[in-house]
Amino acid sequence: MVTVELARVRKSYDDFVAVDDLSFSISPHQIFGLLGPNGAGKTSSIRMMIGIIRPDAGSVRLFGEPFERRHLHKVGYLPEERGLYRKITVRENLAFLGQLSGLSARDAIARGRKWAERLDIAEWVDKRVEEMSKGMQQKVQFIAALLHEPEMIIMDEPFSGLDPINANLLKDVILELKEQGRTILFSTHRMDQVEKLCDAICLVNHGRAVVQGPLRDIKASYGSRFVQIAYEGDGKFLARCALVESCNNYGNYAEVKLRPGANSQDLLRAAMCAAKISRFEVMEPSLEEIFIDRVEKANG
Amino acid sequence: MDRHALRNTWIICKHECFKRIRTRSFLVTTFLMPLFLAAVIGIPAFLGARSNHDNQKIVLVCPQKDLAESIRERLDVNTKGAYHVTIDADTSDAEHQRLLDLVNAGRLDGIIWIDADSIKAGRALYQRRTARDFIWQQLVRNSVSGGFNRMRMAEYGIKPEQIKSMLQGAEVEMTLTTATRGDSNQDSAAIIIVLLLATMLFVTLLSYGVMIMRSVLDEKASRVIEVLLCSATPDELMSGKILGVGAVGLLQVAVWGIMGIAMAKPNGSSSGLHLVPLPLLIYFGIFYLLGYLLYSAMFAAVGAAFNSTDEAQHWTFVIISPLIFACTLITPVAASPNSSLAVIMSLIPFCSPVLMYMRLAIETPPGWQIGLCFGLLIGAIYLVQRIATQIYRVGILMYGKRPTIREVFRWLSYA
Repeated sequence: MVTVELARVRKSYDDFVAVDDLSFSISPHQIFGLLGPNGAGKTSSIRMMIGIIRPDAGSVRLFGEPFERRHLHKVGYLPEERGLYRKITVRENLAFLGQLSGLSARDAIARGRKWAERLDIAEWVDKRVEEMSKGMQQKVQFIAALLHEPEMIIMDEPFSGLDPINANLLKDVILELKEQGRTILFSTHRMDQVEKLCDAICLVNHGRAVVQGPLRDIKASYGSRFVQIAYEGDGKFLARCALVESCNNYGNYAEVKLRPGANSQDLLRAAMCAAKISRFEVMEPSLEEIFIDRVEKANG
Repeated sequence: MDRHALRNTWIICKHECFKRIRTRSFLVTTFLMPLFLAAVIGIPAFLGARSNHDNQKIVLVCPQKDLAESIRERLDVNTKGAYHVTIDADTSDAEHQRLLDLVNAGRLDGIIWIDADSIKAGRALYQRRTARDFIWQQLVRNSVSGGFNRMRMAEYGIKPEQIKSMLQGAEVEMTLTTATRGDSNQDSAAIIIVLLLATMLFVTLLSYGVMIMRSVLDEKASRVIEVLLCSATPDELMSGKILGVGAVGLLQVAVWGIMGIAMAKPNGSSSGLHLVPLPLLIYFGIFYLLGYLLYSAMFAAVGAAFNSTDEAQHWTFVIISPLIFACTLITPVAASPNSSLAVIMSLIPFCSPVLMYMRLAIETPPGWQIGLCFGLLIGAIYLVQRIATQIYRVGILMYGKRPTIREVFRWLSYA
């Protein structure tokens, strides 16, 4: 049983198509990345997943069944645009949001306190939200999404606005949640931030899926076509080399993309003939490079 | 509405209600407002009451003794003894100057000057240092004029007893057949209180409607709405909010009512609330609730459609204009509650909470009109709530530029 399944989903606002024929599925216990630039249709897809907006076409299934609101008690949502009631205390915020997620006020407060201790904000529980820093408010928001111990957690841009220490703390908690068997969906335009965490991804652009599947398979399909070379001498040979598809040359250092089917060992031999090579490293492509490559191909 | 939706609506309603009740501004407006109003109404009344007992020293200069006595007697009756009138028969210029000096020195409050020429011409001069007793001027005029009338009648040979009988007039007592109490003063006080209640209806509908709008704008601006929408539907959010804020309003009005009755007791004076028949108080509650449901939904929709209070301000005025219009009609409707204007306007749902209430207070309208009024009002609430919910549902997720009316209408067709 897949946790989430979007099948040929479409959403438009007047003339603007936000999501266009998008399909993907998320397996249980996975960390799934919904990635793409701003305005790619990520937030609209998530909103359809949790019933905030209805798709114009296509279908959404949650936990193996067609979407129903009762499923949302098993979903925790950390939206991109975060907010809390500023004039009331953290405890009151958590009690209210916890109750809406199906808990009693007492349970919500007890669980909230435990999480607050885990995230180092225990002493702030009885303070008003407006007295807290933005980073601390974000932690409260995170707690609110997890209070009812959801099977699936959806996080829209979870790391934005967090300092490196808190980003690390959040990452540890996310990995703990995964170990506990939760399914996690990330949505972000910062692909570098999540590529180490994700098991599977869907890259979207202009509302359509550009590439999707298990991250390892996607990277493997690109093979080892990216090479970094540090050299001394004449670097012009790289531009002339038949093995090279494209090259960013910085004088003593170059990032090279090989032609499909080209062998990196052949490039090493050719490079050693032309210059003194101090470093030669075959790289996996980053998600960003894969994205750019796919978008460029799609645009012809 | 299923059980789950009811639970959510209840949680949101509770949250909205308690969040407000605990604020300092609620406590201040609820408990200090009646005291403030009592002070505003009470202090001038107290001062006014005191000035009734002021000893106003007046010198009445008149060479004709009968006329002077007659005027003094009328003044005594009309001012309930507040004016102490001394009669002076010396109409010389020197005497006039002496009296004016006394007035200017503050040792005398006024002079009524009637010399021989004035008697012939039927004129009198009333001279004072200040216009402080403007309320009493008409009484002075009536008293002097009454004195002249008596004098002229006597000149025609009419006997004093006959004059007294001719000028006696008649006491008019006014009562309402609908009121249980026979005291005319109490009945007219009740009308004033009903007028106050109708005004209060307008003020509370407006202030709680604006509170709803602000609250929606706030949730939208702070982005709390995004979190809420994962757990509750827009319909649940809107109805929970409307019920919660409405409950706060009802509580506040109830506290004001209780304080109004309580404040009346210690000094025996009347706040008047106990003079209003119970059915009218119940109608007040019903019209408050129905009017609130009608207007609050519109305020919620406006809050959702715009991004800031500034943007929404223009529409706030559009929404409340029927209510303002209704308030301008309170007096004409009160004057002739069965005129076609009153009947038609009191049936229009956006005006009926105020105008039908006013008509009910003055004279019970025909049953079919009351029934039709409630029918139309409830129908309008249903329609407005449906449209408002749809605008709210789309609007709360729309950020950025201010929407045009055409865009808002297009939202109505969104899934």
